[in-house]
Amino acid sequence: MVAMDYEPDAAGQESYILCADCGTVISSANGAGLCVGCLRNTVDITEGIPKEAVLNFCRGCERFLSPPQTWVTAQPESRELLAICLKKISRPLMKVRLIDASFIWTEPHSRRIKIKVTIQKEVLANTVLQQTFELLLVVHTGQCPQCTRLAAKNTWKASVQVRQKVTHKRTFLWLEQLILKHNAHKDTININEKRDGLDFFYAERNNAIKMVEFLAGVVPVRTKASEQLISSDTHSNTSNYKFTYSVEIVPVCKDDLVCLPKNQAKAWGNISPLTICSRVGNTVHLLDPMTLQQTDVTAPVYWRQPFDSLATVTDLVEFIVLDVEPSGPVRGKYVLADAQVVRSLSSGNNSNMDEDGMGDDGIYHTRTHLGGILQPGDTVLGYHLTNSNFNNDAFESFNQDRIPDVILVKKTYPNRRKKSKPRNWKLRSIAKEAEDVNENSNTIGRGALGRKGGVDQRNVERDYELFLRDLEEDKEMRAAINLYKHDQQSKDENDEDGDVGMGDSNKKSGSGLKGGKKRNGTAAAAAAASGMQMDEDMDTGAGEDTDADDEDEEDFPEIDINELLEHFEEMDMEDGGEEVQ
Amino acid sequence: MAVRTQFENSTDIGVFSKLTNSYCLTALASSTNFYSVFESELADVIPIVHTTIGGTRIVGRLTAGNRHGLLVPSTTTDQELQHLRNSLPPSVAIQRIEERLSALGNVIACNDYVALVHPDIDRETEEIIADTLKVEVFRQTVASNVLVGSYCALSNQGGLVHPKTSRSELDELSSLLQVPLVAGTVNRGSEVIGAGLVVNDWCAFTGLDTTATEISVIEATFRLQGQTSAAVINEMRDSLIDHYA
Amino acid sequence: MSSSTPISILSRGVSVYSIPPELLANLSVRSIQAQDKIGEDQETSTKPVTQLPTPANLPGASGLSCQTCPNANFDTVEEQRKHFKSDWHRYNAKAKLTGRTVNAEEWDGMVEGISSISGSESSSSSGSSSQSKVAKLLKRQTLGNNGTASDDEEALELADRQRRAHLRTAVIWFSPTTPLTSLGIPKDTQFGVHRSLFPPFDTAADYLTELKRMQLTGDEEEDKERRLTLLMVAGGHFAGMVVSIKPRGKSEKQDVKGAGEVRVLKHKTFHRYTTRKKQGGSQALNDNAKSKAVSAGAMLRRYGEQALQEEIRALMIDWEEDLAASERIFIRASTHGKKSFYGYEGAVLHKNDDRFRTFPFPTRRPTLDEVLRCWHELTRMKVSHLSEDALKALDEEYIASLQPKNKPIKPTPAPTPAPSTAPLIPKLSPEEEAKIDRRKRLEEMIRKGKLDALKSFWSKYGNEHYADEVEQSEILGLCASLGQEEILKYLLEEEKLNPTKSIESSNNKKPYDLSANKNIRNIFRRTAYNYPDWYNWIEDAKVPSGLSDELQSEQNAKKSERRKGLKDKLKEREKQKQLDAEQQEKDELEAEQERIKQDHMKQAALSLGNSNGSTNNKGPQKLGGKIGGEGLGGMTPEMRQQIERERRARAAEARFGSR
Repeated sequence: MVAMDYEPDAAGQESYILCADCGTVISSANGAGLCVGCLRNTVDITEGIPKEAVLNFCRGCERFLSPPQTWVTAQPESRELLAICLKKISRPLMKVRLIDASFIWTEPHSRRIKIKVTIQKEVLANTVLQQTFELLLVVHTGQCPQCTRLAAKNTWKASVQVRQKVTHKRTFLWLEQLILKHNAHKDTININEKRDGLDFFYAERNNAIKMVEFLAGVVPVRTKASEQLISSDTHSNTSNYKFTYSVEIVPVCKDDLVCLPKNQAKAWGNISPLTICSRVGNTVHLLDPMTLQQTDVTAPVYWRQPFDSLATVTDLVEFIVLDVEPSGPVRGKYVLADAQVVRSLSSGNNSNMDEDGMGDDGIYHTRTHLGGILQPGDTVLGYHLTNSNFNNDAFESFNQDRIPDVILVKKTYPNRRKKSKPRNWKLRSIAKEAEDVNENSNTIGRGALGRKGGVDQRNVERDYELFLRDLEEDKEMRAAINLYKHDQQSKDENDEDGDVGMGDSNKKSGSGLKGGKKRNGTAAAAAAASGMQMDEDMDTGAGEDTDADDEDEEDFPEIDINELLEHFEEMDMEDGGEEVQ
Repeated sequence: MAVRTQFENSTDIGVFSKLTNSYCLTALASSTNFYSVFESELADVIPIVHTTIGGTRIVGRLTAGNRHGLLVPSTTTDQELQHLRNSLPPSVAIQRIEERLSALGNVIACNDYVALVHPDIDRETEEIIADTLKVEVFRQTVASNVLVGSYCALSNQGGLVHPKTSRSELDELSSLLQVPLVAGTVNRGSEVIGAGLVVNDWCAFTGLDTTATEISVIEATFRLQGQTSAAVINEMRDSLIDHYA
Repeated sequence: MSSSTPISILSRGVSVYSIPPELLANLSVRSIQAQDKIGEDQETSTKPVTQLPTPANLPGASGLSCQTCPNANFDTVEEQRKHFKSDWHRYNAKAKLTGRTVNAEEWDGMVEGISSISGSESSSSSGSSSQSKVAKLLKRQTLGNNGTASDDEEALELADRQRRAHLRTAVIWFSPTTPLTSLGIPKDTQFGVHRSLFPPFDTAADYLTELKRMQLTGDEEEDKERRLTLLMVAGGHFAGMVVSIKPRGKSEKQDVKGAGEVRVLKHKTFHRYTTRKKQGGSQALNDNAKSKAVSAGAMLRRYGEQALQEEIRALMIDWEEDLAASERIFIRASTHGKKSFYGYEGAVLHKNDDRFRTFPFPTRRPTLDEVLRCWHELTRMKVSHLSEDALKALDEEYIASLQPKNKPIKPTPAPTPAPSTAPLIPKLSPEEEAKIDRRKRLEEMIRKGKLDALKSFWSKYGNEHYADEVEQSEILGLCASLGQEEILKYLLEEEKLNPTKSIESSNNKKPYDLSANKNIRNIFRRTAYNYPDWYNWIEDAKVPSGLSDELQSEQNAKKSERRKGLKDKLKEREKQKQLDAEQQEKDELEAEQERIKQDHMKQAALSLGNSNGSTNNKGPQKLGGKIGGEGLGGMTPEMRQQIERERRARAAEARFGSR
């Protein structure tokens, strides 16, 4: 009854039986004793796999929920969507082998997605069955958490208000670079410029705390926390607060002249009360340029008895060094020296050399800490105390005899500056990602600051230039932040490309980037475009000076190309500042 | 005739019954349905014995036998043995076997002339089998299975063996047993032939799941079509007379 | 044995891997049963009708065949049915389940030994016996059996025991077919090699071919690659060693103290606290048996076990290459301990590696010394001198000692041969006997440095018996290798023994080459200087240059400081040696008594074992008992002394070096 044609050799090892159900002759290799057809009729390998599932879709942002928590943008009939769909039945699919899956077209409005899935499964010892079935997914619309938050307009839970009560914005420009470098703004949902400072907004309280701690780590601050009750639930005894952290930065900046109250000066190592601020890290470094004595003032100490600066960078005037003679003491990079200086011609209103009527020739003898870098003929910035008038108790109580005529603060390079050589580096800005939606595309500003225009704006431009110069002149400062290469040759293209690349979708976000670019253009262009009015005296002075003294300063600080980072553009465009490195 | 039946919802009727040409054993069940099926077919022809073996109901797997005798395992109690002696025809020899492989039904497959046994069975057991059942004993495997009793069912007319038995092995076994053999299944694809089927020369009982195709294979193999008990008994008697003549 | 026995190679211990070719060519395997009955009983029931050289039939094609048995085809149904009842088929029916079936020839080979056991072909007995036969064969398919029927028709039981006896001996014995006088091997000498060095074989002949195959080829590169690994772990101690089979050359650096000329490639020992002193047993066992102990000690031990295991595993990975290259891997470990070697994730070794062996003799705490001892024990040929009769007696004894079948038995020891120094060698002519005896005495005297005794001995026998120059060289070689300066000097200068002949038993080296130390070499050189005209020193005797007194004194002066210390040591050693000698003498006396006793008693075999006198253990022996009885087991006394000496010299050197 199993009459079959068989070759003796092979068939000797084969065996044939009748299928138990239909009676066809089959090889008994499968353990079921049934032919494949009958076996398929008896066994359903799709058993246990759900044929219907639900897909969550956010109408606001048009994203699908990819379990458990992520929301993914997926085009209809895309691989991503298929993956999300199959994920819905991933657990039962573990028990079978997935062979194929494809979409069956459905009308989008039907809110149904159909997928044809082909699976295999070993049913008996060595019988593998293959079966195809349809998976129907119903699209449920809803809102993703982000959209919910947006809709509720209850976007932030905590804010950090950073303030510095000074007239310039340099500290904030510096802070912006630090934040970028350390990626401290990661969770920030918004940044607003306020008078004297910035507000950072956060969705979570701990993000704000993190920011506060970051700030406390990089600048001397005073923090005050407060909270506002939004709502409370008496049943569950929970309540909803908004938290605000007020962070005030010490108003003393680098290169400021400070006159300490006497008792304080005594307490801090009996330093001379008249000091300049040499550096602001998370403490304030005060330096007595007459003795090279230094003291550090930490934030708590400062806030116990705050003092203000006597004069700030804007009060600096230019001097020409006539003679420098190191007088011995050396402390780090500072070399104490006796210097003869004269007011620079460019400093204006010096038609009468003997203006003060003291009968001198306008040559001042002073002692400076800059002995190491000053050469006769150099231009140097300093506070001209003899013709300054300060309204400060500490200064007044200070023995007037001990006040020097001039305190030199830093060397400057007017000749080089006026050549307006474009910089080969630039900085990133936090502004783009913190863009205010309502802002139009032609906002101008420096980073997060000055975008509102108005009074502040001009100052900000000036401050930015000064800040960049500071960076150029101070290696330590540079080390703390990221500088990026600026490709000079392709500037123009880049400008176009950049703008085009920023694209229609992204029109508004140009400000930060644009600003950065312009900054890298010629100083004049930048000045014109932004309406900046650099210290006129500085510019004109330099112009006049050109004829008299055409040689460049030898030690003009150049930034080594190795310090710069690559691919500013890409990073800026791609990650939107998510990750700096 | 092949009859479908089940034992208390189990289709493995071979486990609960033993059928030979001269007697039938069935397990004690809570109802007599199972017994009745046998009785309707076999009544007045051969005795049907209700029994347990060693207190269990799996009489079919624990015993082995043919027309000449019945082998029971060492677990069989004296009482059961006595009951069997009383119930079976006097021509049937009953023998209790001390054998490590105590499920005799699983390790012995026999008809009235030949027995296949498990390769590991004791030499003494082998001799007892030969003497009691008056058969020629071969140690064999069926489709690489040592449990020959589980994987084949034999009668004097033919035999159904494990579905994976190869052609050449079928040839070899049938030349050994001198009956035609067919590979097949019972109970809708089950390969445990011995559990799903009990058979003698004129009738067979299979599990309730057995399909029509399987029934047809069984009837063809064991030549049950048109067989009547009377004809078979007569033939048997003839051979007996022949034998004693 | 016309010439007197030369200095036997046996006195130096022969490595299994470098058996002199003459000897190797002459060896044959000795099994417990006599060998002469092979092929007598062909007509057995088990022999199926397969002789017809029918070309391989397709199964089922030309008719009757057997699916189970390879190449079994039949003309008639009767034949086929008969075949199905045969033992061969029954065997195959079971073997098929494990996937191995045997063809007719193999089957014949397997049953040869036992087929005739049943003797008469009476159906019933043959039936049941063949039944058990099949069962047994199935049980130990891997074990070979070349033994055939014993002559007596006794009982199956006996035959069965015989078979088991042969299958179970830990040592395979070989005997030279002809006595090899050139190597100093007297008649009735047997050589034993541990079975574990061989792969499991079915027939005796395989062992011989394998033994031949195992020999070092002399090819540097190839030999260098061959290695064995010995690993022991017990009681928190681990010792492992990878040894090259090729012995260390003289010039090569030896970094294992006391290893002599063993080329140790890698070695490592470590110890962890795992076993409680008073209680024994591993912590893991204890934990498994009872609830987990929480004492601090238990924690320590648990940690120790863990750490030990990790260390060993790390070491295994470290040694991976060597392990892979090893021919055999000897492992001593408890079931638990074996987990350190294999059966874990990332194991270097695999559980079913067929190179694994256990040590076929008891071993002691795993230390480097112990591993070295085991190496010597494993790779040294065991030597016995027993006559046919004695052997037979031993065999019977041994077989009788086996427990009846079906009981799990611990393998009982192989017939333990009398050691080479056994004074009595049966069946030797009195003359030969005396000669051997004298020879032994001579060797003994040299060994012990008894110059006076030697002098008188020499004057008595020397000139007449040791005229052969080759033999003289051998004696000199012995002196040189044992470092007996006085005797060497005496023999060289006074008795003018010829140092120019090469000694075959030690790779055709000259006596000078065998020198144990510098002093010995100096003696040769000095003699060469003093009597340059006696022989061609440089070329024939390989003595590089003469050594004048001046030269030596100069050298001496240079090293006098060092010498001084060494001399003290030497004295001490001499004293020790004296003590040893006394002890040995005493033992010898005992051995003598024992021997007399043996003569009286016919069951010489059992007590023969330890008659060389270091112990007088007469009880049933354990495997490798001979060696076990020798104290620093596995090594001959010379070897031991040598090792001891080297150790001391090294210690002294180190001391002076550090000053």
